[in-house]
Amino acid sequence: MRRLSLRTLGPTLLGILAFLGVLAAIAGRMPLVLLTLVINLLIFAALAYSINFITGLTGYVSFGHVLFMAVGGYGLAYGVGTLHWHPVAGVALGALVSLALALGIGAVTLRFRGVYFAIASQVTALAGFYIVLEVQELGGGQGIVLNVGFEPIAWFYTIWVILAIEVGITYWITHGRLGYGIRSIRADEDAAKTVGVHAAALKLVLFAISGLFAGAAGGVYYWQGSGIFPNEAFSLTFSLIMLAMIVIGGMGTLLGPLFGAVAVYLSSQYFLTVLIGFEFVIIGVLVVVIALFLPEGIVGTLRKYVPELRGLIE
Amino acid sequence: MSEPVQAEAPPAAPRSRRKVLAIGIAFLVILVGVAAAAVYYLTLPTPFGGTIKVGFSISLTGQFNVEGKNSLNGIKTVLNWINGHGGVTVQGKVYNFSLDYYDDQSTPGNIGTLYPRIIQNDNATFLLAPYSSGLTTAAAPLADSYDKVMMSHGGSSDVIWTGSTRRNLVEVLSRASIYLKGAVDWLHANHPSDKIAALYAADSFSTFATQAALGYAQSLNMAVVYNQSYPTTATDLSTQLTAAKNAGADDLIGGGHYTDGLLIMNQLKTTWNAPPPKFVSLLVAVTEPAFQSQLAGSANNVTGPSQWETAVTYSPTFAQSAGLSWYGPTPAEFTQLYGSLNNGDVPAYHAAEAGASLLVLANAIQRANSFNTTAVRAQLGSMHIMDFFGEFQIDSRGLQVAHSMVLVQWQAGAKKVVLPADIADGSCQYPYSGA
Repeated sequence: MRRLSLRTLGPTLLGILAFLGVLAAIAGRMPLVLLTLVINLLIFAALAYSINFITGLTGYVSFGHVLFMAVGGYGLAYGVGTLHWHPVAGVALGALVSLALALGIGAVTLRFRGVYFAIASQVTALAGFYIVLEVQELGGGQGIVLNVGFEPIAWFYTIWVILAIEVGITYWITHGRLGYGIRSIRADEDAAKTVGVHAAALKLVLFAISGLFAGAAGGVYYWQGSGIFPNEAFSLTFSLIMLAMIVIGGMGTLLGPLFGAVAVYLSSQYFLTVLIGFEFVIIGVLVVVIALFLPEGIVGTLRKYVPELRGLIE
Repeated sequence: MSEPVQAEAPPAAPRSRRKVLAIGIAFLVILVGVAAAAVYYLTLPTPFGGTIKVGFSISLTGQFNVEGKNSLNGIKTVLNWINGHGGVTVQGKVYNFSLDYYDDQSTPGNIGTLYPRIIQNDNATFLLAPYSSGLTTAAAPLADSYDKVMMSHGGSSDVIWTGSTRRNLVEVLSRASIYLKGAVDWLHANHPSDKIAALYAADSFSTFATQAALGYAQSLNMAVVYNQSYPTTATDLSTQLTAAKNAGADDLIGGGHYTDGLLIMNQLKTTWNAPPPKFVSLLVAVTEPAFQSQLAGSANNVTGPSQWETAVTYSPTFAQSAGLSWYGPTPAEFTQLYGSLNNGDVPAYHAAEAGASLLVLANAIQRANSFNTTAVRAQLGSMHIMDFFGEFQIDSRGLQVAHSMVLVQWQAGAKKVVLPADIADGSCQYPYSGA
């Protein structure tokens, strides 16, 4: 295995780490309006990286990924509201419960492929919604309101750490032996199995990692919202936004989820004041256009048409 | 030669008399001057102090877009009334109000970025909460963090105040837990042996409202024989309605919003007929005029709770008789002004509750004679007034305790306020006939 050094890390990872480093250095001095915008951007980027583990790297489209985000939120709410833990501990609880759930669900649903996996993942999210409605400890239909304050600096550093770890793991997976196996699954799963790739185990590991980080990002999202309500928490829109971010940015790439998050989240903020209500129309058209004409997303297209960037972005 | 005769000088007025005259004239001049100054001063317009910016996010798109737009129209109507009636006076200066708002897309995630923008970039002095309990929950910590008074007009879940400490969040509307209380009270008073079935949407508001009503009914020794929620996206409730009927229920309460309310009513015709439930009370949907136009005869005798209706009879005289002070337009004036600003539309209760939030805030600022958050919040905590929306009084947490819900019922195609009796324009009809 290659020794890790700054030179071997590659310009993309160094660039992302530098970007995150600058944000961390100036977070305390940012105007609050900008800071809250950055926090949400990082949350959406973390969600994009989380779905990138399974959908981007293996090609398994998870329409039900909102389930893990919601479970992360409910873990936080239970930890803070019932167990009276610090919100960061609540975020960790939500992430771990999401990890366990992803292992359980993945063990069954990852036996399906293609559209069957997509449908199965969506059904699990629906099932999660109905289960939460019946569990009074999770607030049932009433949801849970948290007695937390407006804590932007705490939100920022929590999601910053989550995102930095995600980027690191994405790099580690795509640049190690694991990456070869995963790429072979995406190219041809049956052929991969014949050459000794343990496809089922690899997919399950990725799905679990994916669930872990979706749960963690969900925890920060609902910490910021001071509560969680089932109808909003299980909205399919979140899954679609996550998918849109990696389709636009570039599926399975290291930089794509960040580009996708910037494109989708910042444009959504723009549409709060301009062309109100057209956000999803435009994002929808953009996703269709990219899927048809630029299927490798922003990163893949840049690598394809700008040779100078091939060695710089991945 | 004779000495010339000197003409005799006229007798001089006594010195003291001239002095009195001079003093009298001077006094008169001063008096006239003071009177003129007083008249001038009194007729002088109070100096204009400036504009008070009230900031908020509102749902112009997304799932709450209808309620959000109605709320915004209500706020604009009251803004028009306040500014057209001299604004508010603080420290001897007149202030008008202006609005600063953004679309939050009905998404809690946008609240955290919009309110800092409203407060920091746009310098709003006071805040209104967004529409809905979920969005209000997300906005409330910002009010405390930035030390701004925030008036809640669309977040009615009790848990916002009971489950957390929100110093600056003030509720103007009735809380969710008393929405269906009027219906239960009426049943208890008139048909205490009726068995109740509850079927309600699985959202925060509907669950809270219905569960609270069931708890209240049971505390009155009324029988609850069916209790079931359904997802807000449900398209078929026939199984649940059949189950409720088979459980032996006489009455049906619950619902959630317009679409599912209509679904319940349509499916009652095929699943719970001959005889239909004797009493039906559904949240939100019943107050909409479209409920009657869609259902025609089968809407008759269906009841539903409402925060406000144009027919309510709150007035300055009513306030006086209750020992309360009155502020703002009458319900008729609000309705008329709303119509003139919105192409003749009739205000729904979302418009009224949102408008009332600005009105109460204006009254509190004027009473506090200050823009200071602590002073205005303290004034809101001690006020007990009446306006076109009804009574306003909060407890120490900011939870509304004085405002009354009204119970409406469709009767021969017309929506009547049937409870409370002192502001009703009709009496409750029983049983529901199904057609």
